[in-house]
Amino acid sequence: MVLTLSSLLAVHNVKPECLDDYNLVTEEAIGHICHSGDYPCEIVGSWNTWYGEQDQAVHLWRYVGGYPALMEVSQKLSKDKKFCAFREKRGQMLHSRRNQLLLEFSFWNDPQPRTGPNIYELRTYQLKPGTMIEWGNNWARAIRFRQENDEAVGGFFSQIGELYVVHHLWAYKNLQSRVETRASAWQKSGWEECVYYTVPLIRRMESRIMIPLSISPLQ
Amino acid sequence: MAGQLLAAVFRHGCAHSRCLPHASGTLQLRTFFEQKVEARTDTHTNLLSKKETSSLYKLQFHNVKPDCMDAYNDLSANIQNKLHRSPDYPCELVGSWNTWYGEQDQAVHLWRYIGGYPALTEVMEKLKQSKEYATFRKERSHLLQSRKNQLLMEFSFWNEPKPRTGPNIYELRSYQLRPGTMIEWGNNWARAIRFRQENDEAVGGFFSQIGDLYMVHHLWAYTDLQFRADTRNAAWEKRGWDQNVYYTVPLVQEMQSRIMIPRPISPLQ
Repeated sequence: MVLTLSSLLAVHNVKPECLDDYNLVTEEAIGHICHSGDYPCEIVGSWNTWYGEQDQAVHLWRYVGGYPALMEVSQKLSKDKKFCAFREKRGQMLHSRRNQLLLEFSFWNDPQPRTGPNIYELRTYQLKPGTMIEWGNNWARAIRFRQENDEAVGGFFSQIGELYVVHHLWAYKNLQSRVETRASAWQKSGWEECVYYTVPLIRRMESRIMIPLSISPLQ
Repeated sequence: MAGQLLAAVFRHGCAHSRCLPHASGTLQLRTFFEQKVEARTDTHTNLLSKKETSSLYKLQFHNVKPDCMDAYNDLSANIQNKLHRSPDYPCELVGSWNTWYGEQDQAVHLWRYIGGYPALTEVMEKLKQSKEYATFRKERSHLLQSRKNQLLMEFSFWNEPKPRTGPNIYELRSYQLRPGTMIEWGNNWARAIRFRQENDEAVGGFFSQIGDLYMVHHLWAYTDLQFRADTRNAAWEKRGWDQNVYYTVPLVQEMQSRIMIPRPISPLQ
């Protein structure tokens, strides 16, 4: 069993009047980082929220080489003039931002680029401390009930930032397809067991529906 | 660390119960997770909402810059009216308010999408093409601090919110439930809702599908705050109401109440 690379989830609360400008400069910056070849990281997906918290941008990065890669990227970026200029500009467009370092659950597949158009759902669970193993056990068995329409994109748990947080990322053609896909899981014997054993582990959960930005490999 | 633990656990499995030393020194078996949760067999939508109507609701919470409230109200009334009345858009405005007590400088809008998610998608696609809407959104963005929304289904045992003549004040009671307790909540309130029909105060009851999850909203209408106090007190005179409170309050993690005043375009006045 291989523990996969570190991922970074960044959530940016953008001033509503700045969302279009934010998207423009951010897509440029992401393109600069990913195409330069200098940075051992890649953008997995980049979205604006549609339902849930609004005027929010969500970015998921993968660091190729774990923590050493993270440090390397951080140090290089601090010397990159173009990036520093972008950061200053971005700072005026944001209310607040936060990030989390994540590891992928081994029983989910590595998120691969997808052609669209899809909508994405990020379900975020705040678990009761001490329950991560039980969560993993149950979902390792249950994930096969959620492969009906290739909807499972990635599953992550936090290492740094808010702790005992789990994110499940799903892709659907549209909202109606999402309802039908989720409902069909209940027809499969074993799914209700997963819900029964995992729901008591949750303190809080939220769901965002997100639309990919044009630069996102997950479309 | 958690990663290594996970790897170990997949090889050796994990117990649901733990042995804990009792105060007196003897071992006592206790289940690690004591919260009881219903054994569910289907989606919340199929279990709790009316299947035949398939209406989808959207609640919008807009935190308006305090000095921009009047401008926001004027600007949004025009577009909301158009969306509400136009046969091209399969949606209706159920109610639109400004908060008075609770979170302030907040506008709350409740929409109904006739036909569920396909209707929502249709409205979104059409609005994307609308230059007027794009201009409105840009102008509105300067007046807002932040916004969020939730997509909701109606509980089957509440009536569908119908337009009302005023003047009324509205109370939106929002409950963040403990995950796993939605069915129990629904079961209790299905019995208890009849104790809250005294003055036709029950407007609508909803549970979230997208946005903050395990959220419930109850919407009430009263002629004024004193009337609200009297009406709520009257429920305690009815046998069965105390039972509802007793069984539902432990299901709640957090709750808040907003008193709201309808805006002129609101069908709920």
